[in-house]
Amino acid sequence: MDYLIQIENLGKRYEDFTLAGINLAVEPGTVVGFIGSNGAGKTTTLKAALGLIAADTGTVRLFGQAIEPGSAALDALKARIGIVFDTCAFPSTARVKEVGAIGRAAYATWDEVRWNELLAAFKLTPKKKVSELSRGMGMKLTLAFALAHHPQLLVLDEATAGLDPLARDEVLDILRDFVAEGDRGILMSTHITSDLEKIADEIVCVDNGAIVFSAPKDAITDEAGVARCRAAEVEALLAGGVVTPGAARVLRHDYGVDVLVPDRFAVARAFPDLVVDKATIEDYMTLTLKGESR
Amino acid sequence: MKTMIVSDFAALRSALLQLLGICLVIGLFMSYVMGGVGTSAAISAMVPFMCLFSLAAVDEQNGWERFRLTLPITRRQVVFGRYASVAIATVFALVLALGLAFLLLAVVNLLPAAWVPASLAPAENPPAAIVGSTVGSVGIIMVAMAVALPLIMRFGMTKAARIVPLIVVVVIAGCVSFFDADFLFANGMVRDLVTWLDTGSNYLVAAVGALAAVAVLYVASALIAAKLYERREF
Repeated sequence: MDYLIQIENLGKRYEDFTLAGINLAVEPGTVVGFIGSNGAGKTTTLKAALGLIAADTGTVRLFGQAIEPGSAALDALKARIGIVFDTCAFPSTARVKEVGAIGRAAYATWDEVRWNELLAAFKLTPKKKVSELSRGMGMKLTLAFALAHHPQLLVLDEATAGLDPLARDEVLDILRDFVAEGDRGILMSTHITSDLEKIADEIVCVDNGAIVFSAPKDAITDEAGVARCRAAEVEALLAGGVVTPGAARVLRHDYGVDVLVPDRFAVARAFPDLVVDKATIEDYMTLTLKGESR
Repeated sequence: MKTMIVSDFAALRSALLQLLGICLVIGLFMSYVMGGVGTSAAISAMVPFMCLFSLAAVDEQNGWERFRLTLPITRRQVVFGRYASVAIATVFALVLALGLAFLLLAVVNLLPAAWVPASLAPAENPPAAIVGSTVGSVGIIMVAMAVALPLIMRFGMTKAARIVPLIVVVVIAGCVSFFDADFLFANGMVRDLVTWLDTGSNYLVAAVGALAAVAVLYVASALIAAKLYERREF
């Protein structure tokens, strides 16, 4: 299959940080959520994938073609990607309409009608300077820029940060429509995991420069669960034969013990007195990263 | 390259409008003090440098420099586009400076002689001197930019601001020791050059020659900058 982006065994070494063995792929028609704590390696991975930094090991394929930073092939492929970073990066002295002029000059596929539609939908005034936009409006401008040239792949790095809940829903609707075409996909790095619950198909978590888990979103939010136990119940749960050894994560806190289980229905059947909540992506990530493997 | 020029001038637009106002004020002040010669020299030196540093500052704001590389442009196009933008700003400054100086002198010619300050008297502002001072200023500024731009492209403005003055001081010191003034004057080289410049339209030939030499240096600088920029990580 030709993935929109496929990262294999990516590695990059800095003095104080090492990214190693990163594997990640986005199929057409899917949204891959890329999560992890601050400094875990998400942005480094995205930078390497986009050729902004040279990876030490591994390969990155865009639309099936292996890329080298600085190569002419990469620059042609970049025309098929829309990027939204965590800040509105356009020159602060430029006006919104001049940002459109940059898009017209950069992309052969730039769609002025779509650009104007997006400006109207996001209530962005063409005469306004970038420096006069709030953080949320700045992110909308970047998103409009990313969408107006009809990319096949969207790479979003904290794109919904700074948006109010209504605006976030609006953006998520646009992203859903974008993916619904079937031949397009999104790689979305974010800390707002609730956004991923609404839109993602696959979740990849990175921590300390390495992939910690990669799972379909439904396996996390529909099948997995968090058993809310008292200390005495934990061993019985783990010894009950419902959870494969090593598959549970146990996190003790002041008021009890949370146990992440891969199949909450099986646990609920075997231990009807136990409260087993649906796991959120945040629960899953927190328990996987901080919990003890049992 | 077009993307780069469009984005540079989108970033510069408001600064250029402010610069026009500043140039008018400085032009009036300088013309009173130094005549048309000083006016054109000051404006032609000031505008390109201000544009260069404005653009370098914008590059470092909000990760624009990094985001720009996600657009479908090569790193070479980024470098050559930046050199082209600065060159366009320099030509604009050259035309503006000459235009302002000659306009000023034309206006002065319409005024009664008693109202005109000595510095603006036609005898003090021959066209050759105005063209010479303007081209001289542009030449010096272009050499400075040819030195500064590769460092800015490689290290970014914040780091380059620490390196550029060091390089400039070394270059100036090298030039001073190489072009020994006593030797030049003692051998009559300066006198001969001045005589040649004063002959017919030789000053125009010299101006074109100087600009061509500086242009060659500027292109060489662009090629070096492109090489340095290829290795930069964001």
